[in-house]
Formats: sequence, structure tokens, C-alpha cells
Amino acid sequence: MFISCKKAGELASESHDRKLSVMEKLSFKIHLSMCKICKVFAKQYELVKEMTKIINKKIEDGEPIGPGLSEEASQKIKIKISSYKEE
Amino acid sequence: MGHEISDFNTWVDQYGDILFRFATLRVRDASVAEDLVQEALMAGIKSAKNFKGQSTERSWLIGILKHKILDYYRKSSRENNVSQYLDEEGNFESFFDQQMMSANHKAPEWAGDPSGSMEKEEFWNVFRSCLNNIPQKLSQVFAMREIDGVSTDEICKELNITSTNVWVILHRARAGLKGCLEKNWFGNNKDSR
Repeated sequence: MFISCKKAGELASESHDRKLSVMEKLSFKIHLSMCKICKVFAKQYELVKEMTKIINKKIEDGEPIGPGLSEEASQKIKIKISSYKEE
Repeated sequence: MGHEISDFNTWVDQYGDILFRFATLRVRDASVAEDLVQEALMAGIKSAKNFKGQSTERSWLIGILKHKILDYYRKSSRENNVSQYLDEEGNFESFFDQQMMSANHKAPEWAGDPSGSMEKEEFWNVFRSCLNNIPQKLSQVFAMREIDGVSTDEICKELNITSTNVWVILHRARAGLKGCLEKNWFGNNKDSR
């Protein structure tokens, strides 16, 4: 019923990837109700997950986050495309 | 009858950057990402007559690139043994303890309002660099799970690793990403941001 902070950290992460058992859920919940740090940790994992989804959406929508295709690579691919002959 | 498709010679200018950014979010090595973009564009040209116009040309090309990336993942998982990496590396516990410790010593709450940060362009550049900081061997599993929402079972099948390893990898990647954000953005008293 009582788990360590290390275990709570694992459960905070794994709760996003698998179904926790009833026992795990309960002990996790009890732990978070007593441990402010782990509660903050779990919240931050959630935020990080949400942020990862958002950055992916932004990039798919064409926002210029991070470097684009280099000039050199662009030229290389352009040549490849322009020399393409339909078989 | 294929749907209207734009001149292939404009594709690099139209889609080069977006496809490259899409790829580098999932594949660490920039030169690999460049190759994948090229492969996707060439595959698009070859199958242009299959383009039905049900989606935009852009999302159709992104779909092709997605497949190329998955092929690359499968190939590299045969070459790199992630499970072995986990056994060798073994210093995560001390890393995790360190994180708990620093949380203990500082205010554990992130300084600055996360939702406010999310509206700032600069924040996303930091976030992007932090994603790049996730060790290469972990980043593939992380990208599959967190960016593309692939289930744990599916990841195990595709990469031939155990579910326990997937959970460990994801936990390390999340903890690392969180730590990087704290160091470079949410750290001490950057409320003014």
C-alpha cells in the first residue's frame, strides 16, 4: 500500500503507457496525496506529454521550429527530382 | 484519373522544410532525415497517379514520409540492440534520485506559467532542443509513443523489444526531457518570461 518515491515516479510515467492494476492505482493515489513532490512530478509528466503533442501539431502545420532543410540538401534533392525520368 | 498534382520541381521549395522538420522530430541524424525526405519525395513522384486528392498534397507526402520513417526504425532496431543499451547504461537511478533531490531543494513547481510559456515562440525552440537531447537510443521509442501515439504493444512488435523495456525507456526519456526543460526554461525564477 505504501510505495517509495522512486516507485511512484515509475507509476507516474507508466500510467501513460499501460493500465495500472487496482492495487497500483490505489497505492499511487495514496502516495500522491501525501507527497507533494511526486504530485508535482506526475503533473509535469502530463504537461511534457501534452507539449510533445503540441509541438508535433505545430510542425505539421508548418511552423518554423528548429532548422529547415539545408540549402545543400535542397539542391541535391532538386537535381534528383529534375533528372527523374518516368519508367 | 489522378487528381491534380503540382509541378514536382516545386516540391522541395514547397515541402522541403516541413518534411525535414517532421523527420528530424522522429529521427536524430540530420543526414538520415535528408535522405528520408528525398526518398519520400521520389516515392511521391512515382506514385503521383495514385494521389486521389482526398487529402492535401502536403499531408499525402507527410503520410509517405511516415512510412519511410517506420521502415528506417525497423531497420535500425535490427542493428542497435536497445535492451543491451539499457543493461549497460544503468545509471538512471542516480539520475532519477538527483532529479528528486533537486526537486527537494528547490521549489518543485515550475517557475513561470506553463500555459503562458506555450504561447511563446522561444519556448518551442527550447523544447525542440530538449527533444534532441534525449539519448538517441531512447528517442526512437519516445517518438513512436509520444509523437505518433503508437501503442506499447505495437512498439514491442515493430522494434522487437519487451514491454518492460519500453516502459523503462519512456520513463527515462520523459525524465530527461523534463530535466532539460527545467534547466533551460522553467528553472529558478524565470517568472518574467
